[in-house]
Amino acid sequence: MNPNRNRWGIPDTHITTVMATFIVMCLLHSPTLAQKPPITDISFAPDGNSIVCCSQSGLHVLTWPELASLQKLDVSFDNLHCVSFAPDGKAFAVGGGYPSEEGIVQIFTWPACQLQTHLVGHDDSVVSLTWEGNRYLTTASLDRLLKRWDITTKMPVLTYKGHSRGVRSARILETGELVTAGNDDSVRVWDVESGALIRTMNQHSKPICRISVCPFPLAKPLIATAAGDRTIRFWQPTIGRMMRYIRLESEPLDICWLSETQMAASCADGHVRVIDSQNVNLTQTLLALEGWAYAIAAHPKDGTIAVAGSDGQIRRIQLRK
Amino acid sequence: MHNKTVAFILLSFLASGLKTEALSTEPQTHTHPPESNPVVETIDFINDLVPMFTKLGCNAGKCHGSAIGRGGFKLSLYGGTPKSDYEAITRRQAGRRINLTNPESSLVFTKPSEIVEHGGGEVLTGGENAELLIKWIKQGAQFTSHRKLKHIEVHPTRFLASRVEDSTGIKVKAHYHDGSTRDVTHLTRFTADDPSAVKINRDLMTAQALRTGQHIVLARYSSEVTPIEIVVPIADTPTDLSREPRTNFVDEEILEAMSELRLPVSPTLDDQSFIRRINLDLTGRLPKYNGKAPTIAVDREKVIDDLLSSEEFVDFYSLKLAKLLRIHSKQDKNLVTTTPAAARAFHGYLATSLRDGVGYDQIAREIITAIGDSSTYGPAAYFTTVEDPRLQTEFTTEVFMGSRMKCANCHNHPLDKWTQDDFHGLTAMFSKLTRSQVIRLNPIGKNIHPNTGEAALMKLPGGAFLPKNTKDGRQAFADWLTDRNNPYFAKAIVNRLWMSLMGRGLVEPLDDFRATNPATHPVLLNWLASDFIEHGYDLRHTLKVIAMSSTYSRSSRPVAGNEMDTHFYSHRLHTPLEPEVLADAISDVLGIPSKYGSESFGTRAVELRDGAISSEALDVLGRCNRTNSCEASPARIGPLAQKLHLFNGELLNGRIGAKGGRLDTLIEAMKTPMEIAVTFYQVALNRDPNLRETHFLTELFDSELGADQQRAALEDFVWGLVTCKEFVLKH
Repeated sequence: MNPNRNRWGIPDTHITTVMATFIVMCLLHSPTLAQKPPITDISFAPDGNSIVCCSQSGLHVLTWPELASLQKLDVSFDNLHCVSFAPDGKAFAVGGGYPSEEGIVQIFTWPACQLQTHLVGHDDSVVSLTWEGNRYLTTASLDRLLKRWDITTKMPVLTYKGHSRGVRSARILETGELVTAGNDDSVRVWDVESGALIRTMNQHSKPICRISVCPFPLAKPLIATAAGDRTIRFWQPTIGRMMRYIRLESEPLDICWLSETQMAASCADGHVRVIDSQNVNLTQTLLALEGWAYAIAAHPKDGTIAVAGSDGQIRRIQLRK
Repeated sequence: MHNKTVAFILLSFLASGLKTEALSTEPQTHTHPPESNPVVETIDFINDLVPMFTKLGCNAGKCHGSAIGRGGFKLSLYGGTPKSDYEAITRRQAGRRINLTNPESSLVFTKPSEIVEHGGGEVLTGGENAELLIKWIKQGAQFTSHRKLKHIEVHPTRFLASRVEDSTGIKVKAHYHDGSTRDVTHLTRFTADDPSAVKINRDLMTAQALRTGQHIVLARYSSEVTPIEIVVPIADTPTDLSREPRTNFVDEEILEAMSELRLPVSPTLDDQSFIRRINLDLTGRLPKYNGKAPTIAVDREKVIDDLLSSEEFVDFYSLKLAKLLRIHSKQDKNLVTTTPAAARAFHGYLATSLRDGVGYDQIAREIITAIGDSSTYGPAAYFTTVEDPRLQTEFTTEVFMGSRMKCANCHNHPLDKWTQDDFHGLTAMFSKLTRSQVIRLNPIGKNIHPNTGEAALMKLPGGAFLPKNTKDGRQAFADWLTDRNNPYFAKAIVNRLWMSLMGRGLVEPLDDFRATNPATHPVLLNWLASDFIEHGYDLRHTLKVIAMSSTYSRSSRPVAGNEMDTHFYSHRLHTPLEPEVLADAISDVLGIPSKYGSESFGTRAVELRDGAISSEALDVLGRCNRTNSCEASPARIGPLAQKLHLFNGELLNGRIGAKGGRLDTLIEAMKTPMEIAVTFYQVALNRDPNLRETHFLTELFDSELGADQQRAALEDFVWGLVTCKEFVLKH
């Protein structure tokens, strides 16, 4: 292969491919499998030197940017859907469970990766996690519920009821509200402490798979949501306003902010799309991997992104300036 | 780990090797030996997995195939779009339904096996199905397909049983585009239209008739559906129909079917009853009364020709077409308005076309391609009849193709060939029109395809997409529709003509043509359609062919052995007079016209050119309001309100003895009660009273009664006459 071009013929000036396949998984699987399980979520370690990936093959820690295997962690459940580091970077949580049976969260110390806490209480898989400080963790489950856990007591302190179908994503705003979204096509804003539903926003027409809060300072909190209606919508959730939206060629599965005005989406056609969030213009489209790109994360320091998805693929991508 | 582990292991064990052996003592007359299939190394998602889901009912409308899916899991209806099914199973919800590391833990396996709670219960029964699913997951749950299905061949497609409890083996062979074939009987879902009439034995792959008559079993494999007709003679002994008169092809086909069913036929109608029937069927009027006893020994062909060339025929069939096309003035919530002038213009256009003998193909073409001011050019009002382009597609296909395409709005039609592209492609054509009094082309009009979120491309039903720069696709649609080889257009209208004269369509419902709803007499339907086309789409010609048949002239009185027949025309079906016809007939008998809205006094109900003209009488008689199809009219049932109105309402009671009416005039003319009664019999029923009736009337009009009592008795008699079944039914 031409060393300056990857297997899809995309110039390396646009994409730097460091490692195409999550090799570790191959060694751990039955050799009869023609495909490897998809990577369903990824999260960079706070120092940016490693990345944690979850899939039905388990929890794997890879080096960054080499994407070499550092460690495989034992998790007590088959289906892993989400991984998230605590704000102080001293722990991370992984959520999942047994479909239609049980939702489970396990919390590991970082970087030692020792199992610290095991949270059980949902009736279906946990698919999203959001930290509120280092003590409270809110879990979103396909059982339609959200639970706020005190991880010191390992007990839920509050349950948020209101979604009519599975909840797919939950995020805490700096202003204190909880924003959630899911298979009932709605975005909901809750009072974290009381569990009271503040408002519901219904502009999406298909299930919403991800919420991403803009981490950059703005006058009002800004979030983006990605949904099966192929749109990414930008909202000011504290005032219940949908500001703008963009419809993509393919369904966005995950989104991450790159700057105050830029966001990247990994899509069902394996592409990454970069969007100007102010003008809702598409500025870049890059083929990242074959199949569905379930997860995307922006590196905290080096300006690259990681994209992962079908067949255990994970890739490092350098976006065009 | 989990208390379901034991169940996993057990089911996995079953999946890996359990075979069931079917034993049966059912009587069998036709069976096929099972044909072994070659071992397929890689499971074919489209040709193995999807049919299995169909067979198990997973993708049926009441389960995950419904428009919104079920339990958060949506499959395409009957596997219409395998690619989206594959994504739903393997990709959606982060692929949680498939567990590649532990296939037996896959949700797609544990749910239907009811290892975990499943709203649909345990449907993954039988070791073969579980084995197939697990094997596919172990192979990587890939979207692999070895070949593309071309069609299926079902044997038999028709089974003529000799008696109840006879059964036939069923075999289904798939033909693929690469020329290969395969026995897919084990992957085919068989569904009896009426499970109490046909029993499907899924182990032996047989269909057993449980009742006499004609029954349908649907064989569904992948996207293909084929009906199997099961016929069981109604009588035990053959019926000799060789001496029955055969006027034309109609009789040949009808008698052949009855011969198979061993159905006896009712005798031919007498001339008096024939005259009444043919007048009502072709002109919506009672026979003209000229003050004499009804004619006997008529030349039936001349009667038919005279009626078909009459202005009354034009009035009546204009009304029928106007009801089919739902012509009525209205202003709906979306301000799509049909003005009274437009409704009258449209009705007038139909009347003129019929009067001039314009072919139905030309009428259809002019309506579909209409443009301009609907208040002066009636056909343009066709595009304000319904509210939006999607409803226009439903309306158009029902009217001109006899086909219900509306299912394809949301998903590919489960029982027909129509895809969402067909529905939205046709809708795209109608989206290019303004929907106001003046119909104009609207270049920026578009129809958003629900699957793509983009403007749908114009497409002919079941055919090609039109070029993107097409400004008005209706011309191409009209060309396609009225092409001689179009399989829908001619059949749809001849079926309606047949229904009009025979009381039941060869295909019922009239707007539900599809392979899975076959005609009772498919050869006859094809012949009538071909003959219609050969004769220039001439409505009068086909009406005459049907009216001239001996089948049409059959008495409505059943004979021993055909009393229960409602499908095969062994005797004429009783059907209610249409509300407009009944209203006119009552007026004719009573000699007092009704008043309709602001129309001039004396205007007949069948002449009304706007279905929205107010009339309480027509409303209570069950008039169709024309906002929806009039073909499922409650008039066929006879609503209670109509009965009460006839008993107690002003429609009769206020007019029977009214000054200047027929009864009053005859009394004033000093006619005897019996003379008056005979006159009413002749006007209303086109016959004289028979001996029993004469005896009854003689007693009723007792000469000892005073004048007032005589008049009251006569009023009672007339009331009884115009409410009796013989009067209010076509028979």
